[in-house]
Amino acid sequence: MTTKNIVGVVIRIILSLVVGLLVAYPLFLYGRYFFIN
Amino acid sequence: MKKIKWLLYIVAALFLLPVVLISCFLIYWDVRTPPSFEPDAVLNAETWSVTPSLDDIRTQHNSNTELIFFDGYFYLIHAQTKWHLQDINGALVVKRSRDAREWEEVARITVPETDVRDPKLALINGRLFLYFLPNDHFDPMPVTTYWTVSDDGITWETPREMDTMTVIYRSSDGTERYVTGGVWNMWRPKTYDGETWYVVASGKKPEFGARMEVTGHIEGDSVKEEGMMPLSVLFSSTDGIHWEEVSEVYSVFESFEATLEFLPDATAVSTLRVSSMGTAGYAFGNPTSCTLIATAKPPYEEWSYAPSFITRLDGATLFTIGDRMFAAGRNHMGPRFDMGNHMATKRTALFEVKGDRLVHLFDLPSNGDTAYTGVVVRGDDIFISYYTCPIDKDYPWVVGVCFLPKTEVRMARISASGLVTYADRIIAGDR
Repeated sequence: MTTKNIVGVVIRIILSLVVGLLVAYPLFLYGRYFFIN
Repeated sequence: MKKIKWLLYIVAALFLLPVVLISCFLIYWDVRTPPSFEPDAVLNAETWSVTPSLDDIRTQHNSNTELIFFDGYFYLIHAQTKWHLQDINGALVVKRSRDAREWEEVARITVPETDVRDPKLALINGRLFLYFLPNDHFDPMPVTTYWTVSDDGITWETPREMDTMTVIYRSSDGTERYVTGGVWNMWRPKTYDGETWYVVASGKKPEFGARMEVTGHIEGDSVKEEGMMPLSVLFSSTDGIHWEEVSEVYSVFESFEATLEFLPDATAVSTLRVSSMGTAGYAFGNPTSCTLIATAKPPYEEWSYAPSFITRLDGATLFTIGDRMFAAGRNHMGPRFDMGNHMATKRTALFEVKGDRLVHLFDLPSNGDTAYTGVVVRGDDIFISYYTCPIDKDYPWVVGVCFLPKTEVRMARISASGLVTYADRIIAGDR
């Protein structure tokens, strides 16, 4: 595995985490109230 | 195989990008700073927190305030829920105070398994009446009124439906039929002479004749019934329990949350929240959403109207200083083509109510989900209760509704004479 490949994998992991958090944030803020009584 | 892979990417992006966009907006709205809300010195204004939003997520949303002075105390009542939308575990919290600064909780009013909101108080024949909405819609809709009464502001009767409201059904052939029942949503009762009480309530009557058709979703669509006409009606009562129709205030377009107040010459003034005058639009606003100012002279059977497009005065309270009429309610920051847009900033604000228009005076420290005021005038002091998202934020309305719905109840005190002076300056063009 070359250095270029490793950097590519790291960038993909970071991007996935950022997108995942951005998707989860509003869903969590709104969705949690349906489980609170 | 490569095509399928790209197709999956596109489908995923179509679902994820809107959510990512909402997330980016939420972050931006959470970090941006509010304006200073520096009041003009002539107003001698100050505000303070009455019910802060605590960390318990089940009771973090304090809203829908109402204020009255009774038997030496200020009485404040407000809804307490998990968020703005339906919460069947919500309560109406009653607090009292000698000076409007130090408050003690004296009662909690609930209806089992029912969302309770929009409390309105009236002192009728020495008894403190409470009227409120038992909401059964996820996105709250005014469909009827519950009421209870107290002799001391502490002990309250079990709430029951206000089913003693008599309206007149007029058919196209001129015949009239008196019908007594419920399904009328009362706002705040007021009196001119201390003997007869008046209130404007929204509801429906059987529809006779043609009416203008509206296409597209507008606020209130979900409670429309075939053959029924939404309208606001003026009722009168001498006991606070039995109400009889005086006149139809407005029936051209659906209206809610009708305030009422009397000028010293007995002229009745009402402001009505009109969601649309025939154009479609709800979540992203409506170009004809407005405040309708309705006025009538005794015996309050003929009303004249003037629309104001600078705001849709939601959750408002009217009050008089001398012969001047003022309103504390929601400022939609108009005029704008998207009045009522859920993504827009809204404030609690003071307006002067002229016969033909509203004049915006100033905003109170507020943002996000805000307004639903109560007002008490004592001497030269005007006390205004309202609720708002944290005042160190500058959320749009929707954020305070269901994403970050921590809201506190605040009290504002301003000088009555200062308000008149300030209004004179604004009307003269000196802001």
